[in-house]
Amino acid sequence: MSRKYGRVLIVNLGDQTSQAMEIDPGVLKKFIGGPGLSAYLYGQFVKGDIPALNPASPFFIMTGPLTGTSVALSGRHGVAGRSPLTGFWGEASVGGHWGREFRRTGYDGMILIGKSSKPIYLSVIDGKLGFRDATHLWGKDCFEADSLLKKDWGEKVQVCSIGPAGEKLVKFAGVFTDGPHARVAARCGLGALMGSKNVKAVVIQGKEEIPIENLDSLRASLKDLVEPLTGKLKGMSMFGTPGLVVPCEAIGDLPVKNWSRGKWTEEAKKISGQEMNEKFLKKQFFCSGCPVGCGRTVGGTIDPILEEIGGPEYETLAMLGSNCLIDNLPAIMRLNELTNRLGIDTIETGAVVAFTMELFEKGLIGRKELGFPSLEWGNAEGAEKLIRMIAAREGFGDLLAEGLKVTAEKIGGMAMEYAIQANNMALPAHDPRAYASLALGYSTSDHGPAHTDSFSFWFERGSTFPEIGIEKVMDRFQSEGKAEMMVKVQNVMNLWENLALCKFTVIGGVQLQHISSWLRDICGWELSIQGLIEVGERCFNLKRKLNVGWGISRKNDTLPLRVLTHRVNDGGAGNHLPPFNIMLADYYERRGWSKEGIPTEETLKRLQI
Amino acid sequence: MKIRIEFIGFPLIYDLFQDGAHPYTLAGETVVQLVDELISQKGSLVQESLLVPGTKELDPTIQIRINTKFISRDEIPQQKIEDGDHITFFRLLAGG
Repeated sequence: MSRKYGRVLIVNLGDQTSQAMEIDPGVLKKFIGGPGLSAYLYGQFVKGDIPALNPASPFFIMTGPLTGTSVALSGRHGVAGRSPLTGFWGEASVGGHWGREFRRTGYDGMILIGKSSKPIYLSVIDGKLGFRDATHLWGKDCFEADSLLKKDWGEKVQVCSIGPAGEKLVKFAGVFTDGPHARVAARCGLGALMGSKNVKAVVIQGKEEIPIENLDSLRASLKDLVEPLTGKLKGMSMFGTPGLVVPCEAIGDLPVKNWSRGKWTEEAKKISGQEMNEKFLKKQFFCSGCPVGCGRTVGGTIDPILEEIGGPEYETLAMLGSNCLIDNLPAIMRLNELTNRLGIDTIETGAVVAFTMELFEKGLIGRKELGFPSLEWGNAEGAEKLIRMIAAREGFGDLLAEGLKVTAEKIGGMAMEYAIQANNMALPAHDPRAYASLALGYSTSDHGPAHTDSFSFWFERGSTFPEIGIEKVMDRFQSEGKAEMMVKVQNVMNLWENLALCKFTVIGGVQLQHISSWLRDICGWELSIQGLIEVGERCFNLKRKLNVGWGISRKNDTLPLRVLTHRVNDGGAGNHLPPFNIMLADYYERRGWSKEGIPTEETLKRLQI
Repeated sequence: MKIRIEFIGFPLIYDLFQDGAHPYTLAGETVVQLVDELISQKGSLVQESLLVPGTKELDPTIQIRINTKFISRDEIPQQKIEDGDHITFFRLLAGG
C-alpha cells in the first residue's frame, strides 16, 4: 500500500501554486470526507463572512475513504462550498467515473482557492498538477468540453466541467462529469462557484492503488452482500428513477403545474420509466463500481446528434415535465439534454420555467418581458427558449438566473406565492403534502431543500432502518415521531454523504455495521455504530454552525406558502397539509438547538465543534 | 390455480421471496384475494410492505404487472387472475 487516505491537493489559482496536505487522522475520524470534511476545512481556510463568489471563497471537490474501492456503489464524489444560490452552505454529490479515477491520481480531495486571471482548466495526471489555457473551451457546452479534452488527453481521462451557464455565473449551474452521459453535482449552484474562479474543467487520470489496509478482510465482508443488494435494487436496474413517475403521481408526491395540482394520471404514464424503456432506452448506465445501473442511456435529440446520451431522471421528468404540464417525453428528453449541455440543474430549471409559466398565466409578465410571444403551460418550445436565455443571461433570463426568490422579489405582487423555494433554492420533486417528513427535511437541511439530504420518505414508504431505531414503516401523513426520525436519518445520510457512498445502498441493505467493518478494513479506524452516527450528527451541526454565522435561524427554516397551506384535493395526498410548526419545535429540541434554531453551546461542545 | 408471483423492490420481504418468480397456489381468483392470502400466510412484514399503514388498502405506490401488462390502479380491485399467470408486485423505493 503506497499511502493512507486523507491527501488533499490545495490549488491556489491566483499564483498557480499548489501543495499537498495530509489531513490529520484524528480529523478524518471526526469528519470522514466529502462535505463533512469540506465544512471542517472551510472553517480552517476562511475567516469572516466571505461571499460565495468572492475569490477567497474556496471550492471543494472531495471523495471519501470508500470511493473507488471494491465496496459496491462507492464510485462517487462531491463538490462543496458556500452556495451562490442560497448564500448558505452548499454541497452536491455525483456518481459516474470521475471520483474513482481521482483517487487513483494519489489524492482524495482538492481545494481551489483564489481566482485565475484567465480561463483555465486543471489537469491532474499521475499525480502531477497542470494549469492549462482554456480559451478554446470557454463557451463550449459540457458535452463539447468533454469531447475536446478527451481528444487532447485520450479517451481514458475523466473530465468534470462546467457549461456556459457556470461561466456566466448562473446561480444554479452544476458541475458535470461523464460527457454526454451527464452525471451532475447539480444543486446549490456550485458550478457558478467553479466558474467564478475561471476554471472550466478538471481533467484527471491516475494509476495509483487506492489505499486499503486489509484487502482480504474487505473482500470477505463484501462477498455475501452484492447479490442481495442488486436483488433489492432490481427495480432501479429495470426502470431507473424514471420508474417513480407513475407511483409518485398516485400518492400526490409528483409536483404538477407548479405544485398547484394533484391528479395527472394519464399524462404521467406518457412520461414514465416504462414508456422510456419501451421507446427510447438504449442501455443502462453504470457508475464506477456499481452493479445496479440505474442510469438511463437514450437516443440523442439535439444537433450535433449523439448516438447515446444520458436520459432524464425522475427529478427532471417531474420538474421539467409534470410541473410545467409538459407530457411529451421526447420534448422532456430534449430539455434534459439542453440543460445538461448548458450546465444547469434540471430541478432548479424546471422550477424556474414553471414559475415563469405561472407569472405569464397570471399576467405578472407579458411577451415584452419574456422576449418571445408566449409561455403557456405545456409549451416545451417556449421552455427551451427560456432555458437558453437563462444560460446566456439574456433578457429576462438574466434575472431568472439569480434564482426564484430574487426574481419574485423583483417582480413583486403575488410573484412570491408562485416561487416554490426556500432560501432561493427550489424544492425538489417530492411533495411535503404527500410525506410529512419532507417538510422538516427541506426546511432544516444543511444545504437547502434537497430530497437527498435525508431521503426520509423512504421510511414512510416501505423501508425501515432498525439500527437507528426505525423499526416500522411510518404513516406518511402523521406528525408524531417525525422529528425524531428526521434527526436520525439526517445524521445517517450525512455520514453516507461523507463516505461518498450511494444512498441507494441503504435500500440495498447496507447497514452501519457494514460501514464500521469497511472503515476498519480500509483505513484501520475503529468506529462503533454509535460513533458513526455521531460523525453524521457532528457534520450536520457543523454546517448548521456555518449557516448560523451567515444569518440562518428559524426565520429561514420554512417552506413556501403554497406547500404549507394549499390543498391539492384531487391528488393522492388528498387534503393533507404538513403539520409543520408542531414538528419543527420538536425537531429543534431533539437537535439540541434553541427555539430560534441555533445549536446550543452544550450541543456544540458535546460534538466537539 | 397455479400462478407465479414475484416481488421487485420490497427490501423488507426480500428474504422471504428473494429474486425471481415463485410458484404459488392461489385459493382465490383476484389480485385482492392474492394479497389477503399472502398476508395471512407470510405475516406482518408482507402486510407492512403491501398495505398503507393501519388500513387494508393496497399501497398506491405499488404497481402490479400481470404477465407483461401493468394494471392500472382503477382496475386492481376487480382484477382477476388466471391459471398460469405471472404476477409481479413492483415498487421503487429509492430514487429521486
